[in-house]
Amino acid sequence: MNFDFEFMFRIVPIMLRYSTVTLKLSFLAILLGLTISLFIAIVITAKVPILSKIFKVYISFFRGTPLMAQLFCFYFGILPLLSKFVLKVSSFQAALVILSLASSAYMAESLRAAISSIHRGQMEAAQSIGMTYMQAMIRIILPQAIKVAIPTLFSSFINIVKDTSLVFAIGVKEMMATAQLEGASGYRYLEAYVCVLFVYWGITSIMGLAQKRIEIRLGKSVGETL
Amino acid sequence: MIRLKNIQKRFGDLDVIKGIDLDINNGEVISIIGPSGTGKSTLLRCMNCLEIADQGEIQIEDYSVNISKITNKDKQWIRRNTAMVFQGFNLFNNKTVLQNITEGLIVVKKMKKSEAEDRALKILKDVDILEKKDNYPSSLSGGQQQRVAIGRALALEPKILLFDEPTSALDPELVSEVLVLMKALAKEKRTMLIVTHEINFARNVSDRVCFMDQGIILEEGAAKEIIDNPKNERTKQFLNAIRYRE
Repeated sequence: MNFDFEFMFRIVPIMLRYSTVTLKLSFLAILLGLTISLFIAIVITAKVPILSKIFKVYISFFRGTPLMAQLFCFYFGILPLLSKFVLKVSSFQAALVILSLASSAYMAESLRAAISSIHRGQMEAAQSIGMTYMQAMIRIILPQAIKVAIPTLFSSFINIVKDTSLVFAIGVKEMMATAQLEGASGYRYLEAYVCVLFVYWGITSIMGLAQKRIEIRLGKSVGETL
Repeated sequence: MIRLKNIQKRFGDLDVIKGIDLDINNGEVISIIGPSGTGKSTLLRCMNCLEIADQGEIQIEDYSVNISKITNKDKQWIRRNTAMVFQGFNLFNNKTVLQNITEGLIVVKKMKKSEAEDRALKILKDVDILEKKDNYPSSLSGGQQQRVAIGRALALEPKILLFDEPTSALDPELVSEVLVLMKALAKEKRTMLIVTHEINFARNVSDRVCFMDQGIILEEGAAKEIIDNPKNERTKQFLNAIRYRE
């Protein structure tokens, strides 16, 4: 059996069409996850009583359990229980919730580590001129911490894109689901999966380029010369 | 007028400051000398509320705070009326020299940006570093960074400038540019409290010197008097050790 290049190229447009689902899910999960993680990282750094303990358990849970199990538990276990009280939740929405929560645990750890890498004197200097803790955090500490966190944050972003391939298991019709479907329709599994791999690789490569540009830009903001 | 009454601070079971009283008149320059680990820096940090003393009273002009009942509002007020110059400079790394000065004016004093910049430019000229206004701290020498840090402290027009070993982290050849600037500030009759190991500077520039050891002020008086003719045995011992080094 020969590798059918023509088949592979023929399904590229279909993959690209469904990549919009992958991209939309990834983008929203990154946005939500990042927002949640920023909040968690600040709460843990500021040692807010009770809340910081809760978030430590949250991080431990979401980093310590498989994404697939989380997805199934939420979509097939928890959501049916809640169906009396809440509006119908689509599989896309369920996937978005779990992807955001799970990735926020990883990103919160990146951000927390980055914040603690910033010299204590920066916070002290900001407070000594009368800034509040939050003013100092937002204006002085976070801009420096983000720069430190960029490489690990981008690893998380790329993981989110890759992890969206799991959500076809709860019925979201995205790229991976389409590849499986197309592969099955023509008994051309290899071609379909190679095709989908290349599209994923293309997306994550572009993200890698974006990361480089952002790093250079943030480097300039602390006066690094190239 | 700034008045400290019975300031005490412990870290765990270590008594760092064991009850310090100090009156600082407006326009007065006071140096605190003494061996390392005797609570000199901690005293300054308590005055700036970077550390909160366990008890005592801090009075700045008419505003008096009982430390055991200190509120967040008190802390903010004290911080806004005192300014610290750190041993390690601690300039904001993500801000240019100019922004390091304007930051506090805009965020804390709610000044307009243009107004803050005018003020900052004037201050940068005073501390003689105007030509570096658009540089980031990482491209400045230690002496230049410390002069900017002094400018940042001055910009907020504090009631007192607190210097925490401002030249200890500098290369020997960069020390004098910072000391010259501090001397000029002293001449302008700024109220200053300086923790330093520069004994000659303390002798020649300050009005009063306090010798601190093991959490208390052992001896205080006119600068030349204390340094040339110390009465306390421990002060003599300390000054002799330093002279021997020099």
